[in-house]
Amino acid sequence: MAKHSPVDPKALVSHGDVPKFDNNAVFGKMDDVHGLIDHGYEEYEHEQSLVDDEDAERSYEDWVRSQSPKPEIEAIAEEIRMEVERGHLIADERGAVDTKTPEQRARALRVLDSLALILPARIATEELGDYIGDINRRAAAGQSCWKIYLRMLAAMFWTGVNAVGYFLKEIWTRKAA
Amino acid sequence: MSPTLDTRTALLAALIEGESYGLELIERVKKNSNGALKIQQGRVYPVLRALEAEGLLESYDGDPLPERGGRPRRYYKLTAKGLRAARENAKAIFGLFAPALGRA
Repeated sequence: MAKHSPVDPKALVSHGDVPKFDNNAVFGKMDDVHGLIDHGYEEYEHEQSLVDDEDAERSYEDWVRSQSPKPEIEAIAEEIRMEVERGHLIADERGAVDTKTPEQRARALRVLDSLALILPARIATEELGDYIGDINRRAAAGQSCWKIYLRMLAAMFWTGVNAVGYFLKEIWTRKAA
Repeated sequence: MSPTLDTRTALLAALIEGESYGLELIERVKKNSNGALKIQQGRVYPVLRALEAEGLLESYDGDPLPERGGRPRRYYKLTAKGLRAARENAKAIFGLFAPALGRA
C-alpha cells in the first residue's frame, strides 16, 4: 500500500469549483478517501510499470485527470477538494498527501469544530483558527498523535478559559453602561 | 532561570517589526529573544484584545485559509499611540538594564 500518494490537492482543487462542505460526509468518509487514494495510486503504478518509453510516463495528477470521468477517480478528486477546503487534508513539503495521522487529526479537528459552535465568534475564528493551523502544521511535520491530541486539549482549555473571560467582560461592560 | 517580561510589553515590542497574527507573534517573541522568552498561546489573545480596546492596536481579518479550517487570520498592527507606547517601553527597559550591560 502506498504510504504517500503524490497527489497535489491544490492542483486538483484548481479544477472546478470547490463543492459545498458537508461535515458528516467528510468525517464519515475519511477512511474511504484514503482507501480510494491508495487504490488509485496502485492502479497508476501498475499502469506506469507497463510503460517502456520514459517519455510516455505521466505524473499521477495527469493520470488522475486522464481517468475522468471514471467514477472512482472523480470521487477521489471530489473528496480531496472537500477536505482541502475544510483543512482536513494537507500536502506535505513534497506535495504529497500526508497519511501518517489523518484519523487523529480529523478527530482533533472534529472536536474543535464542535467546540467552535459554543464559543464567541471572535474566539472561534481567531484563537481556534490558530490552534487548527498549528495542529495541521504539526501533523504535516510528522509529529506523533499524542502531541496532536495534547494540542487539541490545550486548545480546548485556553479557548474555554478565554471564552469565560470574554463573557464576563461583556457582562461587566453592559452593567457599567 | 529564564528571563521574564510581561506578555503585553513583549507583544508591543514584537509588533514594532510589523503587523502580524497571534501564532506568528509568539514565534517572533521567541526568535527575537533567542528562545529565552516563551509566551503561552492562550494568554496572547486576551492581551491582544485588551491592547486593541485601549487603542494601542488595530486589527482586521485576512482571507479564509484552508489550513485553518476555512477561518481567516486576525492581523494586528500598532496604532500611532501603540507605537509611542512600545518605544517608551523600550526606552524604559534599556534604561533599567543599562548598568547591567555596562553602558551609561
